[in-house]
Amino acid sequence: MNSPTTPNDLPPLVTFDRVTKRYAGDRVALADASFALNRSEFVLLTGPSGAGKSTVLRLICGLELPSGGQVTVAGEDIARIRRRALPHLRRSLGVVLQNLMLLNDRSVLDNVALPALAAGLSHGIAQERARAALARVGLDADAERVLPTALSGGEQQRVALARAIVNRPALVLADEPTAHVDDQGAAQLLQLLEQFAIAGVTVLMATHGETAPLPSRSRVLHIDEGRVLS
Amino acid sequence: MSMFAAQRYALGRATAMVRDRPLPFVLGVVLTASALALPLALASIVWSARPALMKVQPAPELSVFVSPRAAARDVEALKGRLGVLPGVTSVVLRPKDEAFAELIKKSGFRAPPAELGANPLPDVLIAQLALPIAPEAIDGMSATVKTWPLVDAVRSDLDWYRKARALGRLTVTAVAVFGGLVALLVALILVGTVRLHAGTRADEVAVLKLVGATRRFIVRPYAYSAALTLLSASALAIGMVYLAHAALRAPIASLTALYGARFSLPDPEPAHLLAVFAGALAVGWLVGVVGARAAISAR
Repeated sequence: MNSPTTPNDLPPLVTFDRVTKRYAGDRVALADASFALNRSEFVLLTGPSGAGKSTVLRLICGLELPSGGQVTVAGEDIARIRRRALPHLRRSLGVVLQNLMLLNDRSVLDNVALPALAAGLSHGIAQERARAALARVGLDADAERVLPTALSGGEQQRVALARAIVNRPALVLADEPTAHVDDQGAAQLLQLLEQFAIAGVTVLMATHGETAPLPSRSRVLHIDEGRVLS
Repeated sequence: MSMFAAQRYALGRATAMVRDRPLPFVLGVVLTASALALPLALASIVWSARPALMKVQPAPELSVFVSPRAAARDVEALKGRLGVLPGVTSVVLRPKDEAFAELIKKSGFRAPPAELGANPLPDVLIAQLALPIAPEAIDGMSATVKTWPLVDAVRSDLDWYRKARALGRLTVTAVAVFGGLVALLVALILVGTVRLHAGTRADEVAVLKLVGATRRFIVRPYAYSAALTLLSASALAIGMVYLAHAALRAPIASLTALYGARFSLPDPEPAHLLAVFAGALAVGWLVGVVGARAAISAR
């Protein structure tokens, strides 16, 4: 009789195999980096500003291509993936960038529903999912009708997180999600991300500072001057 | 995938773009309408002139001048021979005596001047030709008839008609080329405008890419927006043509009445209006897609 498949029996969700990224002027953002992200793992990517953390996230999203080596996400080589397939891959990722990138010309609900609409869901289902995602991050129904600019920094972080999870992604990438919130807000965000990981979502969170308290199930990847050290 | 939801989203975004930037939208519509109104007005005038031109179109004729040596039965034989030629619908004899009497009458003489002597005019057979007929066919027929015995000369008096037709074709072509160039210019300007507009919304495009929107999903609101612009501009341009017609109708009627003719400027036909609107929607959509795609990078 076969034993049930656990997340750790599956191949890694993301692999970096000797990945190098050079920008104009031969500036090296990532040098010979190799690591893997397993399913439902909570990984902290730590390092000082400019160490290459954002580059790692941008490479996983396919926003940039590696100069050398191979990045695979869900088995797809990011450099070889067909242009038409890229949006479908991105729908399996939830991304919270440092500057949040909320659209201030539409309501919070419309911001959160956007990935669901882009994935081809009907307006009603997209809104339903957006409401559920907002509730999941602890924002009440009153917040959904306002513009993001009417919310505090912490609430905006939560809106960005709700948008990231609305399509029920396999992987959540968060770039400095605690940068603009107080300690209490940071702890709540970390708790939320940890809950996602417990629910089976792989979480990669980039942070430049000490994040306390660290989630108990987390693994730390330290990056400095483009080199992944642990 | 719910195409309806995607279309609804795109239409909503397009109207939001118009709502957010009403002045540039209105300016764009007015400028485009002004550019389109001129070729539309010219085209409508040419179209209106067609019935009048059709009325003055003569039936093509071949005039066969019979030799004075021909006897009456020779003329009848020629008439019969001419009547069975392909493309000839009827043949009328213009007897020389009748033509001479008319000449004298028109000249104001009471009797033929003695200096003229006997009637110098020939019998003339006038062959009516069926339409449509190519000028080359008329020329070939003229050459054939000219070789017949007792035929002095053959004339087809269609030269002026050919010139008029050539002028008409030139006018239609010139209006079409002018209209095409204006449409191309308008399309290029709109492509540039959409490209710039999409460029100013780079943040939104970046978010859409990040959340997995396809290029089609990102571009569609701009396509709707450009189609809406061109549709509105077409409606305004047609309104301008209506106004121009209303202003010109009386002066043109007065002018043509002086020449004993009747010419009116009818309003555009519904089928033409539909064609203009459909064309505007299609071109607008295409322009929006091209402009937005030019502003959005591949990844």
